[in-house]
Amino acid sequence: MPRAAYWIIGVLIALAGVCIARLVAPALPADYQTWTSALGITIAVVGVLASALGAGRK
Amino acid sequence: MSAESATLDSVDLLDLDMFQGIATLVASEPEIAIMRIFLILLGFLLMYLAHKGVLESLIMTPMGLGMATVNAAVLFWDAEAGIQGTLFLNPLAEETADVVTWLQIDWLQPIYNLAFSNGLIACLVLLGVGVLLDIGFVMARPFQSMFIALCAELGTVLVFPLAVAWGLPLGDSAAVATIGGADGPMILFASLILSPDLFVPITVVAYLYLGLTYGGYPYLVRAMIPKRLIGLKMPEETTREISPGEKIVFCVIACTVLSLLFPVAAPLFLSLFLGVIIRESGLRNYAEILGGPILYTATFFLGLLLGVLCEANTLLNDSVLKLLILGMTALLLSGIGGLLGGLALYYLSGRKYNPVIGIAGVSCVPTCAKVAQKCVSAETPDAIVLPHALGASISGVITSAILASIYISVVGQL
Repeated sequence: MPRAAYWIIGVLIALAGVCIARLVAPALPADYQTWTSALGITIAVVGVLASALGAGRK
Repeated sequence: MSAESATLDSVDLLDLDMFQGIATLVASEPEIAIMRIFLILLGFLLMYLAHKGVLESLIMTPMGLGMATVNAAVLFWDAEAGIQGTLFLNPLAEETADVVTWLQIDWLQPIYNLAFSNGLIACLVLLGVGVLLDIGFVMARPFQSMFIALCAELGTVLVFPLAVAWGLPLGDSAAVATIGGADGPMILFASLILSPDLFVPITVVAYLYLGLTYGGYPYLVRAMIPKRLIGLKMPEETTREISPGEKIVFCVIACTVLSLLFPVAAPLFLSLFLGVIIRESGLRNYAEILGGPILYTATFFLGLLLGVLCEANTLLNDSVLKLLILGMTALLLSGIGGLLGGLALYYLSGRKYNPVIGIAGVSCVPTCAKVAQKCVSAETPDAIVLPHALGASISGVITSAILASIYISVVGQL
């Protein structure tokens, strides 16, 4: 996979995580907000890290 | 009354006006007087330990002398009414008129109001730290580094419920839990927001303990990791050198995404990543100023103000003993969590990963990374784990900021 793909996919995953945490979670019933928010944060951080994966690859 | 018949009881305190530091000591409540003497002696001790290299002298020298002096230099604002104070700063001034008045009286009040209580000093320190960091160590092995850093937040996560169960309010509990992240500016920034009444003892306790990690963590490593694993040599890696452009893009993405997620901690993210970008952009003039004069000036005033804030009245609080114990617990648990993470990676990597690197995840850049390399070198002098350790350590700064901002977002709204 070309290095640029890691950047693009990583950013898209990170932005999806942000949307889940900041847009979807607040709109859900209170019982689901915490876990959905945590899931979104995790996905966003994974996305940021995934974008770096291509950089270190030989 | 003749001099011969004068007794100690009959001496008017106002006769001591010439030596008001002593007069206020005599006029104070006994517990305040004892606390002042204790803090003066503690200030001397901090300076001595800093001079001997046991504690970080850049912070502890101004903090120690500030602590000793502010507790010696209490004077009467109004002798008749018994109102005491100092000419250093008044952290309790909140109304605009009061603040303006104190700005013209106390010599450190301008720095406190304009740079300390709003978190500017913490951000300046992070900006300087960012200039000194090479984010390439994280990018070379992002998931390994982040896994270790997350495990090394065990203290940050577990101390919060422990503190709540021990009776501390939610804000104070969250603030003291951030000590587990082992990142001084982050602890200051979080506790200023979460615990306005206890941020001084929390930050002082944090810096005291952070100063002790270099001496203390090697014992934890030797207690938890078998000797044969401490000296484990890791196989050479085939990663390529990461270009400055890639590091800059990574910083822009990380800073933007994390700020979108946690706007309350955006000043911290911006400071840290801007420092890294300045370094990678080759802006040498900025890098020299931020990593030199600004970083050291901010560190100096951080130490001095923390010392000056350690007045007996501020620290005479029932919660301080709890903070001492919880702070130590947080750092201990984080160290244990990091090493457990290192052991997990050792097994997951087919016994190739040196588990000692786990201690570096506690952050406290670069102290814990140096601790990891020091422990490994003591067993196998030619084993190099520093690049891995620095990656985990820098990731620790990011995870500390994430957890601090989660606490600020969640607990700050309760």
